Amino acid sequence: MLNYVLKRILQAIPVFIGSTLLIYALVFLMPGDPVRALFGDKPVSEATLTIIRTQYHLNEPFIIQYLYFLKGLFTFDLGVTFAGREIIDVIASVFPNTLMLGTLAFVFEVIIGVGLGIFVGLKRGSFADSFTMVSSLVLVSIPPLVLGYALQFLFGIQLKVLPVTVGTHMDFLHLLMPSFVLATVSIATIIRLTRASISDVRGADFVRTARAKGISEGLVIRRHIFRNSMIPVITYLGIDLVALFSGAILTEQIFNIQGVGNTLYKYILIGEAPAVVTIATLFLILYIVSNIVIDCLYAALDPRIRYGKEVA
Amino acid sequence: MSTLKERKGQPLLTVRDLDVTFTAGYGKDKVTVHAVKKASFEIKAGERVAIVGESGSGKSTTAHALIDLLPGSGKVTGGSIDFVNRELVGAKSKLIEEIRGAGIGLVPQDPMSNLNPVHKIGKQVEEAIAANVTKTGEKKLSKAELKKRAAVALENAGLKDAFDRLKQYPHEFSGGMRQRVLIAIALANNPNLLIADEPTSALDVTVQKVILDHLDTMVEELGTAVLFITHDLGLAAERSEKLIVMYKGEIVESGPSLEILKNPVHPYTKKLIAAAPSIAATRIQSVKEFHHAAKQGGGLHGSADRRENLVEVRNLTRVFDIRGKKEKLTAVDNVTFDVPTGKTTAIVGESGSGKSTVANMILGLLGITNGDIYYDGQNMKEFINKQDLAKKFRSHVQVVFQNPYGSLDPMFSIGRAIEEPLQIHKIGTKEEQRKRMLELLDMVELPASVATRYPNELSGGQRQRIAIARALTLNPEMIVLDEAVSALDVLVQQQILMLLNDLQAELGLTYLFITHDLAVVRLVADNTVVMENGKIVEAGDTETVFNNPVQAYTKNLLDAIPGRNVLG
Repeated sequence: MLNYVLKRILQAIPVFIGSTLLIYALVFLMPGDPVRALFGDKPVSEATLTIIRTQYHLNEPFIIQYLYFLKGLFTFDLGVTFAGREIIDVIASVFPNTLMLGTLAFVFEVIIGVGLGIFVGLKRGSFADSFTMVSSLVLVSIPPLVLGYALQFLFGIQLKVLPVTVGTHMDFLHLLMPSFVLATVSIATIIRLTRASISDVRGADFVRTARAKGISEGLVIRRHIFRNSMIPVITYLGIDLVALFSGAILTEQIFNIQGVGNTLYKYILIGEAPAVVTIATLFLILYIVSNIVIDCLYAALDPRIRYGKEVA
Repeated sequence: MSTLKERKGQPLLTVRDLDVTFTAGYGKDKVTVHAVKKASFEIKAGERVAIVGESGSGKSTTAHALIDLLPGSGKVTGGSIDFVNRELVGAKSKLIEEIRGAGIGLVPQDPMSNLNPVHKIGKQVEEAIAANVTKTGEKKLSKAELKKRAAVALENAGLKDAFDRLKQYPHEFSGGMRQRVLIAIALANNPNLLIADEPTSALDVTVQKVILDHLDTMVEELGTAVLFITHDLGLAAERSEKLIVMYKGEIVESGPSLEILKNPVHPYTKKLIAAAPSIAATRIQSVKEFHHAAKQGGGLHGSADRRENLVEVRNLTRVFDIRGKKEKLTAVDNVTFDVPTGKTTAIVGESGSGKSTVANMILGLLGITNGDIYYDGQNMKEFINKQDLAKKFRSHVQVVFQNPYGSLDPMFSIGRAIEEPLQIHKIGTKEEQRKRMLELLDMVELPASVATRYPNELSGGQRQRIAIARALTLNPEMIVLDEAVSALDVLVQQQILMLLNDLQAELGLTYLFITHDLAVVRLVADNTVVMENGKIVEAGDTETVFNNPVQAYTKNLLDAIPGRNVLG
C-alpha cells in the first residue's frame, strides 16, 4: 500500500511540471507588453522599462522565467497584483470563504446524493425510486441562477427564515442556502450514479453467494454491496470536490460571497493576468492532490488496484 | 440432534408443483415467462440427485427458488417447497436466512465472479461460519476460533497452507482454488443439502475431476445430500444416483441414473443422450477419403496438386516477457507437428498449455520467437510481412473463435458481416457478393431472411453458424477453430460439429481444432496433438491416442472426461 501511494506521488510530479509549464507558456505568449501596459498612456523612459524588466526577470529566456515562477510558488512569493496587493494575501482572504461554502455543499452532496442514491438503488422500481428520479431531474433542470433567486425570495424575503445574502457573515446559517444551490448541480448525477452502481452490484454473483451463506440482509448490504459500489461514486465525488473548491462564480455572485470564484471573475474582467495565473496554478495543485487522494481511496477499497491488477 | 448419517434415507426436501415466473416490462407490454412449470421432486437425506437440461431449461432457476435466491423479477408463483417439515414458499425472510448456509449450502457456477473481490478470503469464509453457529444454538465464536474454523474448512476443501490463504484476496487465487473456497464456504456449516450449480463447468477438465472427486468424498463423509445442476449428462450420471431431466421449464423424466441412460422414455432425453459427446464412442462418420479438389488454383504457388501436409510446424517456440519480472514465459516450447491436408487435427490441453498461442502463430497473428511454420510448403517468415502475400495467405486460412457473441460486430447486419471479406479482397460485383452471401447462409443451414438481421437477435448456435459462414466466404483451405463449440449447449454443439463435418466432406477443408474438451476431439479429429506446459507430450491419430495413451498426462486428461465409464 505504501509503495502504491509513493508511486502515485512520484507520478504526480511530471504532471505538475507539465501543466504549470503549459499555463506559464500561455501567459508568456499573451500579446502586448505587460510592463508598458502598467503605465497606460503615460510616457515612460526606456531606462525605467529596463529596470522594471530586470526586476521581474522579463529579459531572461522563457525557461529561466519559468524557473523563477516555480521558485516563487514554492517560497509562497506569488507576486503582486497591478494594484500592488500581494496575491498571496488576496488568496488568503478569499479562499477560506470558498472552502467553507464548498465543504458545506459537499456535505449536502454526500448526504442527499449518496444517501438517496443508496436508498433508491436498493429499492429500484418502487414508487420512492421513481419519485426521487423525477424530482432530482426537475431540480437539476433549474439553473442555479433561477433556483438561487427563487430560494432567496421564498426563504429570505417571504418567510424570513434565512438571511438573503452572505456578505461578511460566513457562518452555517448564512451559507445554508448558497451551499444547497451549489450542491444541486451535482446531486442528481450523484443520485443516479450511486443508484446505478448499487443496483449493478446488487445483481452480482458474489452478493447471491453472500446471501446463500445465510448472513443477514443488513450485513449483505453493508459488507458486500456498499463497499463495492462506492468506487465509481468516489471518483465522481473527488473530481466534484475540486470543482467546488475552485469557486462558484454564479453562486458567489448571487449570494454576495467574497470567494475565489468572485475574485477570479473580477480579475479576468480587468485583465489581471499574473493573479489569474497564480489562482489557476492553485487549482491545478488542488486537482493533483485530490487525484492522489482518490487513487489512494481506490486502493483502500479495492485490493486488486493495490496489487497492480487490472479490475475486470 | 441426530447426525446427518443417521437420518440417511429420510425425506429431506419435497418439492410439489413448483411454479416460477419472470416478468418483463410494465402495464400493457408486460410479458410473463413461465420458467418452471409444476416441478415436483424429492430428495432424501444423503441422496445425490442431478437436474440435467440445456441452458434455459429452468434447472438453475429451480435450484435458486429453493433458497429464495431468484434473480431479478423471478418469483415463485405456486406450489410448495418442504424442507424438513418447514414450508419455504412464502416463508418470512428470517426463516429463509436461517435455512441458508446451515440447512442448505450453495456452490455457485462461476468461481471467478462469486467471491467478493474487495474482501480477504478469510473474511468471506469466516462470515459464513459466524452467521450460522448461533443458529444451531452454539455460542458466538471468538475471532481466533473463527479463524481456526475457517482454516479447517479450507483445508477440508483441499487447500494447503490454509492459515496463510486466509490473508489473501480472491484475485491471487486460480479458478480451481476459488472453487475450493466456495465449496469450503458451502460445507463449512455442515448443511443437510448442498446445491451444486454447475460447480465445475468453468474449470479445466482435470481440475474438474479433482474437485468433483473431493466434493464426493466430503459429502460422503458428512452424509450431505447433493442436488447437482448440470448440462452435462455424463457428469450427472456419473456423480448422482437419481436424474431429473428438465426441458423448457418442465420435468420430463426422472428416476435412477442408469435406468434413464439405458432406457430413456422421453424423446428429449433420447436426443440428449445421443448428443452427449462424453458418452458417444467414436468419431462422427466422415467421408474420410474425399477426392474433391477444393480450390481452383490450389495453394499459394497456384499449383494444382495438393500436398500431404498443408501446415508443417517445426521447432516452434514462443517466449513472452512478463511485465515487471526478469524471467520470461516460454508459452510454446520447441513444438513440431503436421496438419494433414483435408483432415481434422486437434490440439488439446488445459488452459495455459500453449495451444491457443500455437494457433495464433499459425494464423500469422502472433510473431514467432524461434522455429518455422510452413504453409503449403512455404516458410511463413518469407511472406507474412509482405502485404500482398500476407493478404492472400489470410484468404486461405480463416478462423472461428470461441465466443459467438463477441466475434460479430453488433452494428453490422448478418449479410454485411458475411460479405465484408469479399469487399476487403475486392472480389466480385455487389450482386455477386450478395449471391455468394446467400449461398453461404444456405450452406450453414440458415434461412436467407437472416441476412437483414443483427447479431443480438440470434441465438448462440445461430451466431456460431454465421461465424462459420463468414470463415467460408473466401473459399479457404484451412479453418482454425479456436474452442469454437465450447460455449454451446450439447445439442447445438452436436449440430455445429455435424455441419463442420459435412462442410469438410463437401469442400475438402482442413481443420485445426483448438480445444480443452477431449470428448469433442474424439468426435471430430483424425489426429490429436496433446500439449502440456508449452510442449507436445503426445501426438498421433485420435484412435491410438485415446485407446492407448502413452503419457500419464494424456491418461489423466482422458480419465477426467465426465461420464466416460458410466455405461462401460
